[in-house]
Amino acid sequence: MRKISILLFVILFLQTTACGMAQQVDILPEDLVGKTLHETWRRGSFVGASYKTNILSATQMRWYALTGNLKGKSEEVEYACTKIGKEVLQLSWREKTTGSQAVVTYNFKTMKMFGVIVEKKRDFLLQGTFTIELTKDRPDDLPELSKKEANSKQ
Amino acid sequence: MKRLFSCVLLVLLIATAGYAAKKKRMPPVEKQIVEEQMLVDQLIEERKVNINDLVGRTIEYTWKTGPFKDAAHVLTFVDPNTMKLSIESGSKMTNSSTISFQTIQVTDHILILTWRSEEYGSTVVLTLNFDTHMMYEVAVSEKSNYLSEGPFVFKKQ
Repeated sequence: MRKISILLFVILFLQTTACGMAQQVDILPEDLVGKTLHETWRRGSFVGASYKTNILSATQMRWYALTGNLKGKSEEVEYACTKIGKEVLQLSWREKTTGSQAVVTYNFKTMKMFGVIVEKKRDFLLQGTFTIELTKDRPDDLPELSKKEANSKQ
Repeated sequence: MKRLFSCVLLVLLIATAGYAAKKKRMPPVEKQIVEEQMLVDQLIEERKVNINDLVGRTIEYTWKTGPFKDAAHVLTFVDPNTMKLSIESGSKMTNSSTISFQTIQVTDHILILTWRSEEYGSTVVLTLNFDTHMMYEVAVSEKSNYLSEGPFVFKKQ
């Protein structure tokens, strides 16, 4: 009797989890807010260049160049996010710091990203990988303005 | 007790099968419309839609949102890197322009086509989702980005 109850519980648990997982793949633009993306280009002209992008709101994000020729640079930009498919979102933004425009498509199932970086004279097609985590509440994660405020309070 | 267990197991199996079937039976409205076309059926049946599958085929699309709302387009894939694109101008279609593009395969059913348009001074990133039959465009010009989206259908040949 006890064995049957345990078996039933296990089956019910697996069933619920399976159905839940099938629905979880659906990612929405608002799911990104409050998250940090760690991105590295693996193919194309900027191989090895990595970035950290804090999604601040539904329209604002801040990128930090961690490695590569832009290392140390950072900018808060306005972005647009379009849901392309269940597990695919496309972000586009314009950068004043570099003069580039970016259209990056993120696949949240494979954790691969595909970029079209538009510059004055040519476009760059890039492929990379990314991870996602909750934005940590640290001063270096804050936008430039908030960082100054945080430092002045100390 | 064994009978009860068998019954519960059977109910769970039926529920799982029903759930899977229901998911399959609920395509978006655009898909229902497009699925009437045999060509699209063929493409969807295939495991992966790549650019070679599209060569020789023509798609029609009209933007439903964005700055070019209601503008209709006809796009024919000539080879894996060349297309002919006509845009509706008034009640007529413009003469088709030949465009060289590059492709990015995002998933089995999502493809990106991108090209630089010297004519319009912009780069176009066109994303096609063959599951939902929706297209998304980001046209990057010198001063701003223009985002559009709309459904596409395969033109019968």
